[in-house]
Amino acid sequence: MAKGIRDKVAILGMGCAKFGERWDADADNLMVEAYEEAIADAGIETSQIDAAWLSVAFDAMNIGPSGIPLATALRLANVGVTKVENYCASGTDAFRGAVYAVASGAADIALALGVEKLKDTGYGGLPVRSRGTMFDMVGVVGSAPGNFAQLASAYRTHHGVGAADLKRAMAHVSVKSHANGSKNPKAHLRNVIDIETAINAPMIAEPLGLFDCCGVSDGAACAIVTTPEIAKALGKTDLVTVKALQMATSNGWEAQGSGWNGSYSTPPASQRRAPMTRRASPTRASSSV
Amino acid sequence: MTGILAFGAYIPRLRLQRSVVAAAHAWFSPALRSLGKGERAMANWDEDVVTMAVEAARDCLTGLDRSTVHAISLASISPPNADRQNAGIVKEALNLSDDTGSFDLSGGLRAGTSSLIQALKAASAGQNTLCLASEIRKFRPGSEGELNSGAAAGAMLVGSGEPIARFVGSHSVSVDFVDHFRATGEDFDYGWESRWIRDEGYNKIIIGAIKKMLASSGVAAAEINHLIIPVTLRGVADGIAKKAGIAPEAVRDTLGSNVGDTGSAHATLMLAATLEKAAPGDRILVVGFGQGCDVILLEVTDAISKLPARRGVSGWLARSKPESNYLKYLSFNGLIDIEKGMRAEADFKQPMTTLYRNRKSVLALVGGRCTKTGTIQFPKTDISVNPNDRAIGTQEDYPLAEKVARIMTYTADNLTYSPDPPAYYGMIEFEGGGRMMAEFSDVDAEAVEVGREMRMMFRIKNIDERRGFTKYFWKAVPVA
Repeated sequence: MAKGIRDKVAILGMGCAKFGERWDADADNLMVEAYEEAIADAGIETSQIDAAWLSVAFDAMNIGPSGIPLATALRLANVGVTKVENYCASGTDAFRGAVYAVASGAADIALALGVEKLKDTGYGGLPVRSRGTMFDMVGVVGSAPGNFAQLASAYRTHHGVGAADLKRAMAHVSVKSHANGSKNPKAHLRNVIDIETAINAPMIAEPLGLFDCCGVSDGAACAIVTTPEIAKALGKTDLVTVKALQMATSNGWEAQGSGWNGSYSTPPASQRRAPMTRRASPTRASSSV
Repeated sequence: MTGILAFGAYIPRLRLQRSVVAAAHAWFSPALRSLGKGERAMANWDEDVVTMAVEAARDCLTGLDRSTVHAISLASISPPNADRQNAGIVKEALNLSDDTGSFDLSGGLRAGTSSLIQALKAASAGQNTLCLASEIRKFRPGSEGELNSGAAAGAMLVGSGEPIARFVGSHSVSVDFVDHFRATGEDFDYGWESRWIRDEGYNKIIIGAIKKMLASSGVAAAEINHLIIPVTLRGVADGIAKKAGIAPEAVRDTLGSNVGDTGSAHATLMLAATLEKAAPGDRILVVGFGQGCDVILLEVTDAISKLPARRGVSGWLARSKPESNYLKYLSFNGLIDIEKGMRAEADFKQPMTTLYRNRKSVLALVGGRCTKTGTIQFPKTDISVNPNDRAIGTQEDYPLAEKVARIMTYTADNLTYSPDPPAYYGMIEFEGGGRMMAEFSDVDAEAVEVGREMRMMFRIKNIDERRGFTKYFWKAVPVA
């Protein structure tokens, strides 16, 4: 029986680039920007990094395949670099790789870095690209907002919520996010908005308006992880450790089976608990990482 | 007995208002105003000759066993492919056996009637042919053709057994009478003076052929109950009837006021409209005109009352949406090149290997049904989606194209590229099981809601303009 990774891995250093429309920076500039902060925070040398994971969600407009771009940009010590591509979970997945490497005892210090250079696309939103030969024949080439927007009509039908009420409820999310962004000097969007602005914004994919959708940013973030013992030996106190980390990849049951009512994003990850920990509630799934 | 076993039709939903077109050109051609009445059928951006032919074929085969089709023919002078068999694509969409013959006919406006004659003659050798005729011609903006023509498809299942209309006989005349022409690779045709066409063409060639047909069949002109002249110009059909001695009430509506002239499909379309209302014993004379003349004589039988109901011309006519945006018509037909934005640049090159391997899924919408659990899914996969039994290799083909579906969720996407924004799509669930994410088409905002009944239609998914390859797939359309 798996014992879980609770308290086996600690954060040694974190770094983050300034997110935004970084016309001034290539992907490798952003990687270095995030890495510089992380390595300084960690207080170690590059040569001490044993393994690395690189995440890029949309390679159509980025640095190309393989882990080579990370190794080259950071001048890592010719260690193994895994390229991770899992849409919006790419960063989490790269972190997972680095964390498992340390938790397993295969590496002392591991690095996870995510980078995205979407503003070379030339238009707003995510770049249009192939999703594989079968999908290109039978799949719907919708935008990301369009794909998520479909939850709304099923949700309001299932729960008997009126369209206007749902729109108003959704608007709260963006108002909160903008408020948070205004406090973060590294955030792309730092303006505060009100509910009416969110509700009356131009429609992107019914019923999601402009503010209900993510903006698209250039940015990079980096995590350096190690064991709590090594972190303490390096003089770190008040450690942040990983309690549990889960990921779930749909096996297609929602779109091909008949069990999904279309009204929720199933977080099966939240139902897969690490042994000997309390069961994480669905609403706290994201905070268990 | 040989003859017509069944009929079908398809008319696109959009009806371009002629007054809008005439008004747009009034500054240059004020005379077009006289043709600016009524409406003409206009194909949606995702329709072409092949997709319309598929719908007409489905209409024709309603309630019938598709395995009785031995061959399929497609007549058109505006097919999307010069060298990728168009009838063959229709065969895949209809999920017919690979042991089905298929052939295209083109080259002139008689392609439709000529294909019927060949099929009617082949019927006596035991072959049942699904004869399709489909047309979307392009005309120069500001031309009379633009106003007069329409887009539609007709289908006749021809063969032996108990036909609804038996084949009495036919007569064909071929003469290089060039009333108009279009060279291969050209977009628009070039026509001569209509007075000459009427005097030397319609009034001489057609009448001559009709008289020979009647003489050889022993049927008198006065015994003709339905005269089908696929020429929408005012007065031509009536004039021919008069000169041939056929009763004026036999002249069938040319559909000029509400569909338009559908070229090589028109005779077939008019025949479908006629058969909807014909009574046993009625004699039908079908004429095709184009570098000569085809004449077909049919006699309706008692079997016509036994044919399962189908939409036919009247059903498709009732499903209509007026279109007053002339620019949209021009854009859909490639007559203006509007700025489509960068998202439209995405290259979705089709690997031929994957299309071939998956042609039943892609072109016929065949899903899978697990023989172990009964789970229905699209597409068919090696491992079933059933959460209780992920059996391997247990799925049998399960056709979904004829199943009714309901909307589970949807959106109207203004961001993704669409030739007709917003792009409507969503999750649909089929009656009997199975679901998929599908693009919707032929929608109005009001029609889309969770629970709405939808039927699947064969449409263009996108066109690889760089290489000239049309990708097809099935879309969900609100049941009208």
